Amino acid sequence: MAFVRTAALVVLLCMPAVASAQTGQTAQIPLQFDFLNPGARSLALGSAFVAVAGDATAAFTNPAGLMLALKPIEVSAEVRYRSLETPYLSMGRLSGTPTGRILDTFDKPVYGVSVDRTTRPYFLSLIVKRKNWAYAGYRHELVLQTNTFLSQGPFYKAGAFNNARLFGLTGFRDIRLTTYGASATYRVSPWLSIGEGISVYRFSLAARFAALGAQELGTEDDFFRPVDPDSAGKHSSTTQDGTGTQVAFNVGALMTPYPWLRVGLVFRQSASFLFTEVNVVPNTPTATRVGTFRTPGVMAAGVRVQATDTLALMFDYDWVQYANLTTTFITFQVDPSAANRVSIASGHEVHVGAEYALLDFPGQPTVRAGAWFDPNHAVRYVSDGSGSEVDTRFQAIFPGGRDVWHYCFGIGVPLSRTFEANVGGDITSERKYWSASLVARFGK
Amino acid sequence: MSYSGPTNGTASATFTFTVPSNPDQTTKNGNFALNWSGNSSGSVTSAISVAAAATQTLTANFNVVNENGSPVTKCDVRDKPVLYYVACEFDGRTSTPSAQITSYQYVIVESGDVLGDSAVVSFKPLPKGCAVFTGSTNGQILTNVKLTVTSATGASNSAIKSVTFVKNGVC
Repeated sequence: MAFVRTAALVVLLCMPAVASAQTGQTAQIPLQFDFLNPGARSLALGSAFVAVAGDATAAFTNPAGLMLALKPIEVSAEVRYRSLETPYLSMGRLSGTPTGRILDTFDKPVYGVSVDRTTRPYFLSLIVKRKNWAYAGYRHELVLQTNTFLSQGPFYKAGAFNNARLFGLTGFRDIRLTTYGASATYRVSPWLSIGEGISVYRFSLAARFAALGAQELGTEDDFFRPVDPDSAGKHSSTTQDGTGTQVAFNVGALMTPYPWLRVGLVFRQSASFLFTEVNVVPNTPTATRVGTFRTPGVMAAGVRVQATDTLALMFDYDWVQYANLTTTFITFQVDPSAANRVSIASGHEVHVGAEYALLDFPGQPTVRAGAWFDPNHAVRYVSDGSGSEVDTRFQAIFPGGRDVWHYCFGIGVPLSRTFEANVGGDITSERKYWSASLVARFGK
Repeated sequence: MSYSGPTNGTASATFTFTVPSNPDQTTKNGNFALNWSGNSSGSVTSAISVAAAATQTLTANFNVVNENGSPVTKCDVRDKPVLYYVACEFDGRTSTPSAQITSYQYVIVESGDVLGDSAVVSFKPLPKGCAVFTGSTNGQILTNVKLTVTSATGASNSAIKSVTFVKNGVC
């Protein structure tokens, strides 16, 4: 049985680019990615797939759906393109009065965007169905994100000093989370199937960040100049590295009380991974700490209604436990004085989709559309109202996100009695996914 | 005082009386009285006025150099060899005229914190630790450092330079 669903995740993988005495200072860079269901069909249906789960991607999404495989053997392979935009504090002014000198010409924070675009093999699965049992194995590239950052270091007012400036920052981060899973489903009765899966998550993280000083030409304007990349290592630098393997479980159920109604339930356990952070500051003892990266647990429920012979409607509700990141991954990395004011709200996602079979067209393709509500779950700092430098800085670094609607669409085309092709897209202003999958079914 | 002229008779003679220069900024007045006696006696009094000293012009100037002796506009603030160590030297010995300067003082203009009160302030800790940055915990602060030189007469002059303090893991 089991599993779940999409989860757009915004995690803070911030970089206190200095030793413990400077924790949380320099460059907190959010890490933003999505935990999406596999499959072009699921993507096109707005990830409203818990009660659909009628193909090989059910091995991950809801293993109870494996029994819906049309033939004894089903193989599915998917390639996915993604474009993710990660905003981060880049320059500008957090407080005080701009001087108009060189870079100090903005009266508000300026955010840069790190874009990660890539096309990757995303999902591969095999289902074998025998009588009341079905089994599946799969590989799912849950997260693979590479970002580079360059911050000029914003200006701010510190007490009596109008012209204070955060260090600039150059950074690179690569994070990967690949899942290898096996699932089994048992048909308890004609109207009930239950499934359980075990997933082996393989995690790797490599991040390199360094604080940068401004270019030095020996004049009093130096303070306002762009950063000097060659100054990396002169001030402070931080690395984060981690690899690990973690086993997690998922369970799911699929009920068909009426031929036109199917109900699905899933739960996905979170997985935790350790990483080591090393802060190096010249003339200061190296500080090493161990932190935890934790994927959110997910619970979801969905229904699928066969409205007509050609039209099916889907609806999912997902609860995504983002909040557990706050107690581990995030608070570990921000300035201790602000830790209790940084939070992420757990997500209550709503997914809807529709699938319409064009019976009069050659090959009887299926068109799909969907949407889902992705509630704000960015890391957010809640101001203490003091207007202090720390308060101002964290408000700028963690401004919080916004609610987002994802709009999805796609088409499925049977190529033969054995093969079916699907394409799908999931579009927001900051994130874009395109997927193509091929499903092969064998046996009678 | 000196005398030139005959030692007897009635011819005139000259008494020369030298008074020290007036170091003060106000005129000093006094009287010179000459009394004699013998076959005859008498006295004469002459008023003396010593003008005020000319106004002294001081020129403050200083250089900021790093541990290698190179001129810099940035100073690292470290925790070694002592906490809040400023890795810069402020050298005001180019202020003139050095012979008349009796005191030096380096002040961070924005906060009023005194960095030091000698001609050369070398690699000293910040006077108020990180508090000089008024709660700033990261990065760099552009400050105006002012040197004021003063003479014994009360004359003074100041020079200001922009200096960036870089807090490298200390505060």
